[in-house]
Amino acid sequence: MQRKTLAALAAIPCALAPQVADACGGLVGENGTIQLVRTTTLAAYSNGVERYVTAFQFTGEGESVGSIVPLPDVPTKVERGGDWTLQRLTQEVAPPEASASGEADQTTAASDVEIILETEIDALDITVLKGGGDEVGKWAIDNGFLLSPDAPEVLDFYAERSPVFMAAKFDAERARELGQGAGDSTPIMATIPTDDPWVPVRILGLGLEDDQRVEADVFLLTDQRPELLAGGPGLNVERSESASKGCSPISDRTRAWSGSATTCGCPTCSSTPQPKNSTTTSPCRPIRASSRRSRTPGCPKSQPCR
Amino acid sequence: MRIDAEYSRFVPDSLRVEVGTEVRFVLMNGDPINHELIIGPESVHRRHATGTHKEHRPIPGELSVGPDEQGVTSYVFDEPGTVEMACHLPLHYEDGMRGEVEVVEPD
Repeated sequence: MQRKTLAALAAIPCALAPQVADACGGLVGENGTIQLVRTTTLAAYSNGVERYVTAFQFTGEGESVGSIVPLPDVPTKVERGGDWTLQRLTQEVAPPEASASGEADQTTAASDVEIILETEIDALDITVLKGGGDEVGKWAIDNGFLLSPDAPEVLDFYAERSPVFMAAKFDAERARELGQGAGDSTPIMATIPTDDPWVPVRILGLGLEDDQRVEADVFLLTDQRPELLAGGPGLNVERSESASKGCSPISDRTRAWSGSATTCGCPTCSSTPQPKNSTTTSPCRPIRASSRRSRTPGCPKSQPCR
Repeated sequence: MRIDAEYSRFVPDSLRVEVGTEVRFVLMNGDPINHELIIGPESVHRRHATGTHKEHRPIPGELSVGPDEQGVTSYVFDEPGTVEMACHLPLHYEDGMRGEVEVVEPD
């Protein structure tokens, strides 16, 4: 198997008490404020397909909040991610079994966006839509999202690179009906065929003051060492190393995997397969870095972190 | 006087008028979110900063516009000094959506 490169980035540290923690998405709260604690995202790219795994964590008593995540291209699937995938990022990354996602709805909403896909995952209403920054913003407003004042500029920034966005609206009432409580998280995986993979980072600062900080871990698993030229101060590469040989699908609490149980990840990690429900802290955790939100335009199109 | 709301900023964000002038403001909202234009003394801004009205009917010096909409309001600058204009929707003022009108004596 081709040796893969695992890079871990640490971005910008902690902010306010959260209602929903979201990786690589802009949070939009009920009154326009953004509350984010820390986020984790995995983006794995191989053979022209980016698999983007992020988690939405309910941690408060809010009513209905949402998140808008820019995507590099149209996903073919958006499905619930493995419960333990993000927790075991440093040990193993594996593609999940193919499974059905929500049906694609090609109708055009009143705000002139194209609705690509709609689905429900736990307490999340997921919509993948395509449109310019203004159109996506209007759709978001029409669908109950509250956008912060910097949203128009940030949405335009991303729409110029890719007109595809994933909106996730969290329903606290449904979460209660499902028995979800504070601290529970819902991992989402989007499978995205693309020739230009990237991971949105700038959007994490949506709605924050200039001196507020966001703590985010971004893991990249790629066939070749990625170029990380984005962000300016605060976006640091904490680790970049080859994943161990024999990376293969592993067991997950909710899914059955095929292949061997060999773990893979950073070479300094133990090679002993971890129990399914292990909460052992991996030694391969990134170091948090600090930074400030910036209104700078960000990195050029060719760079993988935006 | 045309003022554009662009990326949650007023363009232009500073004006100069002669005392006694009535200015008709046309606010053009190019953003996909709501904005407002509030013009007046500090007491007016204090009221709007703590208020909860999501929009304002177009009375002199107060105006709300939706995405891609335009609205009109007028204001008489009857005293020399600086008059603030601002959007007091949540976080808009803090994010920089404000400006000022310098009111000067005629030459």
